[in-house]
Amino acid sequence: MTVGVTLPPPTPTLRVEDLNVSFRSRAGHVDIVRGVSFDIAKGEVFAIIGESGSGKSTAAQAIMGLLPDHARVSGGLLLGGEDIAHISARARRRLLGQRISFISQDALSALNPCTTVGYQIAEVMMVHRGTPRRQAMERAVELLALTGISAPEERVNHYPHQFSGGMRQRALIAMALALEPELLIADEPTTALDATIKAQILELLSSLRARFGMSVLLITHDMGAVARLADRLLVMYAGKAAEVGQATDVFAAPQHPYTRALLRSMPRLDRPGEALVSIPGSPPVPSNPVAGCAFHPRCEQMGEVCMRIAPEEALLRDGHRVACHFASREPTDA
Amino acid sequence: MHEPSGNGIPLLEIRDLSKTYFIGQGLFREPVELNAVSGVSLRLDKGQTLGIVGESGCGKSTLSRMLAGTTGATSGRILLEGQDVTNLPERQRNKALQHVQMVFQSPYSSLNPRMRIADIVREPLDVHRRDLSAKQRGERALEMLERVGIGKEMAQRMPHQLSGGQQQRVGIARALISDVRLVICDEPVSALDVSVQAQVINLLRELQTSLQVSYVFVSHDLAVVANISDLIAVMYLGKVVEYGRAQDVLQSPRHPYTQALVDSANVPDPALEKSRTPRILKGEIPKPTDPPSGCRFRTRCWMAQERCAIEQPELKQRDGSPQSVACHFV
Repeated sequence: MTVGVTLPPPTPTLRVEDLNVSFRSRAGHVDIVRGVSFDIAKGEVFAIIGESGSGKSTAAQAIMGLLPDHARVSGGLLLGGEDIAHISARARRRLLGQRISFISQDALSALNPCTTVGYQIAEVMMVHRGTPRRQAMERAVELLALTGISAPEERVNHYPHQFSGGMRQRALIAMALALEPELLIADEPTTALDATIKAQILELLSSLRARFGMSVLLITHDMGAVARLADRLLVMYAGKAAEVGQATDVFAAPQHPYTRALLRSMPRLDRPGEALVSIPGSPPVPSNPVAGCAFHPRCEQMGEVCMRIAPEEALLRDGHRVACHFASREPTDA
Repeated sequence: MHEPSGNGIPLLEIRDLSKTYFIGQGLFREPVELNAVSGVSLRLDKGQTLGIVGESGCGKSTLSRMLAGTTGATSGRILLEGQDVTNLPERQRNKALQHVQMVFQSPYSSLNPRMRIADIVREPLDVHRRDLSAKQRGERALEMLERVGIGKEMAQRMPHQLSGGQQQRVGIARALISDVRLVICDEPVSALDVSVQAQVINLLRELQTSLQVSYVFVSHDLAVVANISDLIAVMYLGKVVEYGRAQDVLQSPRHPYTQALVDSANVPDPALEKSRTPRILKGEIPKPTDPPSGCRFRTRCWMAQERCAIEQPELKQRDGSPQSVACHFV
């Protein structure tokens, strides 16, 4: 590491330090997130990419403090430098919505079916800010317009079932933006949407980030969406960070064999008909963890050490970190 | 009409196929008409793959069900190796369509949870190949499982003991075990993890080469369809808007909808993704019960003019395009 000008680094919007989450089960404790650390800078889109069971959604829920009581969470969580890991339920309720907001994959179940969409957006402002109802409803119309819903004056009075899937996702984004949070957590925001609607929502998220200057934590399995939106990314495998870095670096020169394999196994529209290199086996089930490096049974570079010892994260350069015994020895050509 | 390569009788020929549903609106209201599939004509040769791509409500699933014979057609014809298999009575249909099988999206719910996987794979033989002894059928099932990468030691397991990828392999083995010529794959990899998708796509390709089967591959994911298909049909609200060889459709899409669909697919290359400005369609997909007049795509089209509201564009080769396009302005 070089030490040049000694400017104190700006406080990140979110700092996650050694986050661990485990659940109690009949078989004992099952580790879902295992020592994940990352920072999200102000105005940055940070993506966590992973397959099912990788722990990406659990990590997001741990950040928001939304895990059930039987989950065991440890590690540091700092929002703008303030500890949010050890706060009361009341303080957390103030935090969520005001400073951190959340959009999920399933917009229909995230909305209350018995209340108009407009009122649900207004309610956020009424509860957190004490905004009078009329003013809050006016603001709801503005927010719907901002998220690209046509005829927002009419639409505020509609119920969720009268909205299409894409419009519901927009309404959810409007609700998430109501209090101009520092951090927006988006868990698979486009997974349930059609291709052309997904493109619309990705554009919307990108323009809103520029406009509000908020940080975004994007949780997804979609490498294409990450390439389009994210500044930096973390590749998660079996509860651990396999690789963290600038999106451009990780995609152009992936250092972890899993990232590399994932990119080669993906069908690409710009390379139709290209033979796909598949990854053998399937992702491990958390209740049945793999000894050593969790990826070793599927890894093409696997050595003897990988079966015994889980690799530590090593810093390469520019904040590019990778957890592989062979990462530094075997430079890439992807 | 676009004619794919190959002479003689195609394996599958669809002529002006339509399916209309009547959706009840309650006791005192007239049922509403829904043209799920409207005037679709396509053909597919032996050993080739026809990819059908489109968004929700485009009719791709209805079309695949009609091809598999599980849903009747309202009008039009389906010809299998020249033989008309449209709306046959059940007994004839079972015989005529024994060479057509399906692979489903959800691997788990398409397998009987109370049967061992060896028995699941053997079942098509129990129906269609009574000429073989029970022992022979059992052996063939094990061979087929081996072929899709599931070893003998797993053959006695129940579906829930397998991973999603393995379940889909069982589904493929079941589809391909009897003398099958056409497999309808309806979103076969959509429910699978990214790292497992490629395994299944590669398996389907290998089996196609060795068994010379044809696939109709239905998916919402253009990149997946692009990877496996020889021919591609793009559907929008029950109609085919573009149809031709995969490379023609993907490399120089002519229909505005296909162009938008190609644009909406993100490539895992941040430098490229962040520098390009994709064409974003306005609005949403209209309700299939109330499609726009004329060209069904016109409400979201940036090229739409008056004519599009009046006149329905025909699907045909235009202006020297190798593929067929249903747009007035190509």
